[in-house]
Amino acid sequence: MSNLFTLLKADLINTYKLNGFKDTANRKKAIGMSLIALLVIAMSFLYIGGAAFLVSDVLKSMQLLNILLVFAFALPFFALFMMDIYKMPSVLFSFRDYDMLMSLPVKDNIILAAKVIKLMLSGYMWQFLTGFPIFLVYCIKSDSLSVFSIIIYIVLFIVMPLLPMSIGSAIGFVVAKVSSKMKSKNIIMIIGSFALLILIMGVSFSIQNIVNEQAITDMVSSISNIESSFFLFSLYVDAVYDLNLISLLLLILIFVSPFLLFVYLFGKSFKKINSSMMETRASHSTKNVKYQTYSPVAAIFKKELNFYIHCVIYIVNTFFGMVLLLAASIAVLVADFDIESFLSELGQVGGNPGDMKLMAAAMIFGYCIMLSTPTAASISLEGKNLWILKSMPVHPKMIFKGKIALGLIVTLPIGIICSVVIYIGLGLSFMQWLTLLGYTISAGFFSSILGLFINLLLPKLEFKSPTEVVKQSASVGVAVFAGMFLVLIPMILGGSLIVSNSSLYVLIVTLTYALISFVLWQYLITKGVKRFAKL
Amino acid sequence: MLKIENLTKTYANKVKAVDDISFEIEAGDIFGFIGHNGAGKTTTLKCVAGILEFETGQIYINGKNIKDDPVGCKSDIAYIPDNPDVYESLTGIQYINFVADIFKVTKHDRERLTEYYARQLTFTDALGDIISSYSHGMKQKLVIISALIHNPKLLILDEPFTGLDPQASFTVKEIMKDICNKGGAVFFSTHVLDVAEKICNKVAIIKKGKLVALGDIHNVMGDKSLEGTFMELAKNE
Repeated sequence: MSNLFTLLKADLINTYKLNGFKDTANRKKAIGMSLIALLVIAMSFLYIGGAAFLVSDVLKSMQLLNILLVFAFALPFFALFMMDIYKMPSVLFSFRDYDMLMSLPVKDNIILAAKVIKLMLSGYMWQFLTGFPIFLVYCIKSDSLSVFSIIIYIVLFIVMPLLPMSIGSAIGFVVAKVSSKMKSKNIIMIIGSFALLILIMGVSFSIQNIVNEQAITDMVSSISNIESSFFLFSLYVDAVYDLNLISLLLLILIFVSPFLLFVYLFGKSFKKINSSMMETRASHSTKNVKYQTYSPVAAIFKKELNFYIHCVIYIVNTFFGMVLLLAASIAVLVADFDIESFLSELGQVGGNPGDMKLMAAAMIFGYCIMLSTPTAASISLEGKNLWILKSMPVHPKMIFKGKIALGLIVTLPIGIICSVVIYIGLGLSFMQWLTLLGYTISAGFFSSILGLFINLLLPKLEFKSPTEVVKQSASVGVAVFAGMFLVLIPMILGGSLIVSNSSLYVLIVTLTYALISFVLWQYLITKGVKRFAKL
Repeated sequence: MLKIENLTKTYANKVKAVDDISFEIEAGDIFGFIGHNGAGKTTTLKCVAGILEFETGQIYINGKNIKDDPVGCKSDIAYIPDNPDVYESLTGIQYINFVADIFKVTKHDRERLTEYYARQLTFTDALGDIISSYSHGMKQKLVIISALIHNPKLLILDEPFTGLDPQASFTVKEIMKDICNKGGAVFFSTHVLDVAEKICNKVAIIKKGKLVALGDIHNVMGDKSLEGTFMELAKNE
C-alpha cells in the first residue's frame, strides 16, 4: 500500500508539476497555471451550468426536470469514454516511465493500480467539470430533492468512471495495437481526432441552440426517447430520481464488473502487453536510402513538413481550421440551405441589406485560416534540436522562409480549392471570387508570418512533449487570438457599417493584411534574425 | 584555424560560464578541452560553433570572425553535441541529405562520403530506418556521419565517445587523426583523460570558466599523467 501511495504521489507531482510551488524560480508559473485551472473550472460551471439553468425552467414547467439528470450522466460519460480511448495508450501502454517503474522492486499490479487510480482521479475531475454543474442546477431547481438522491449521485459519481475507462481501455488497446503494426498509424489517429473535434463542436453547437423554448420542446421529446431507449440513462434516472435501489445496484454492477474483468485480464498480462508494444522492428529498410539534392530553403521546408505529418497533435491543432473550412464549403455546395434568406436576416441585424455573401465568406475563410497557424509553434518545436539549425551555415532568413512555406502549404491549397467551391455554391460573381481568392492568399501569408513573429517573441524551447507547445504555449494562444481578432473585427465593422461595395471593402482588408505581413517580414529579417541568434 | 580572444559568456543569472579565455588551435592540432561538469566546456564549444552568443571577446575561424560572418565560419566547421538530439521523425538518410543540402554538398560527394563513413561506423544497414528507432549510440554515429559529410576543416566535438561502442570509438579517433593529417583541426571536450592523453597534441584545462592550464600536452603534463595533472589542478582552489 505504501508503494502504491509512493508511486501515485510521485506520478501526480510529476504530471501536475506540483513542485512548482516550492521552486522559487517557477512559483510564478505554477501560480499562473493554477489560476488558469481555476478559470477553466469557473468557465465550465458558467457555460455548462448556465446552459442547464437556462433550460431548467422550461423543463420544470413540463415536469421533465429529471432530463437534467440524463445530461448530468451522459455528458461526463461520453466525454470520459472519448478521453479514455485517446489517453489510454499513453497512460497504460508504452508509457514514458515504464522502464524506470519496472526496474523497481514493486509488484506489477501495484504499478498498474497506480496508473489506474491516476486515470480515475482525472476521470473524477472531468466528471466534476462536465456533469456536476448540471446536477447542481437540478438540486437548486428540484422541489422534491431527497438527501438520498444526493447520496446515490455521490455513489454513482465514484463508480461511473470505471465503465468508460474499461471500454475506453479495451478500444484504446486495440487501436494502439493495430496502429503500432501499421505504417500509416498517424492517419488513424488524425482522422479519429478530427472526428472527435467535429463531434465536440456539434454537441457544443447543440447546447447553444437549446436555449430557445421551441427548440427545447423539440429536443425534450427526442431526449425522452433516448432516455427510454438507452437503458443506462433510464437506470440512472430511476436510481437518482426514483431512489430505486435495484436500479442502483444494477448500475454499480454494470460499472464495476467490466472494470474488475479489465483489471484481472490486463493485470495478468500487463508486462507481456507492454513488452510486445515496445518492440521495434529489427529489419532494416535499405531501399529507402536515396540521395536527393534540394536548395537550403527547400531542405528546411521538407524537414518541417516531415515533422508536421508525423506529429498528430500538431496536425490536429493546426489543420482543424482548414478541415472546418472544407466541410463548410462542401456543405454550402450540397446542403439544402437557404443562404439568401439567412444572409438577408444577417443584413437586417447589421443594417446592411446589401450583398453580404462575399463578406460572410471572407469572414469564415479568415477565421479558419487564422486557426491554422503552424508557424506559431514551429520555432518552439525545434526545442532540443535547435542546435542543428543554429550550427549550420544558413541565414535565419532562409529558416524563416522554410517555416513560412509550411504555413502556406497548410492553408493555401485547401483555401484556394474552397474559394472555387464557394464561388459555385454561393453563386458569386467572377470579380467577387477573384477578391475572395486574393483575400485567402493574403490571409494565408498573414497568418503564417504573424505566427512566426509571435513565436519568435514568445518561444517555448523546453518541453517534454510537443503537446505542451502546440496546445499550451503562450505563442500559439496569442497567435490564434490575435489572428481571429484581426479577422473578425474588420468584418464585423464592415457588416455593421453601411458598406456599399463589399468587394472593395474585402479588397481593402486584403491589402491591409498584405501590408502588415510585409512590415512583420521586415521585422523578422532584421531584428528577428538577431532575436533568433539569441535563442 | 581557430583563434579565441578573451572570450567571456555570462548567463542570465549573472554567472560567468566562460571567463576571459584565449587560445589558438592550428591546422593539424587535436586539441583536448578538459574540465569538471559545469566548468564551461560545452559553453565554449557552443560559442565557437555559433550556437550561443557571447558578450565579449572574439572568435576567428580561418580568419573569419564568427560575429561578422557566421555563415562563412559555419561552412568550415562541424559541430557534434554531447547529446545527439536530432529530428526523430526523419530517417537516417533523410537527415544526412538535409545536412548535405544546407552545406550544398553535391549528390556525388554525399553518396561517396555517406557510404564511406557509414561503412566505417557499421551504420550502413540503419541508414533507411527512422531515427526514433535508433539507440543513443546509433544517433551519435548518425550525427558524426552528417557532420563529416561536407569535409569540415574544423571538427568540434562535445564528449564524442559517450555512448559509442569500442569499434566506433576507435573509428572516431582514426577519423580525427585523418582530418588533422589532411590539414584540418579537431577541438573536442572529454572526460576520458586516457583518450585525451593518447590522441591530443594540445590540451586546455578549464575550471569555473577560467583556463588553468594550456599548451602542448607534454608541457602541461610534465612528468605526471594527464589524470594526475588534472587531479592536482582540481585540488588547488
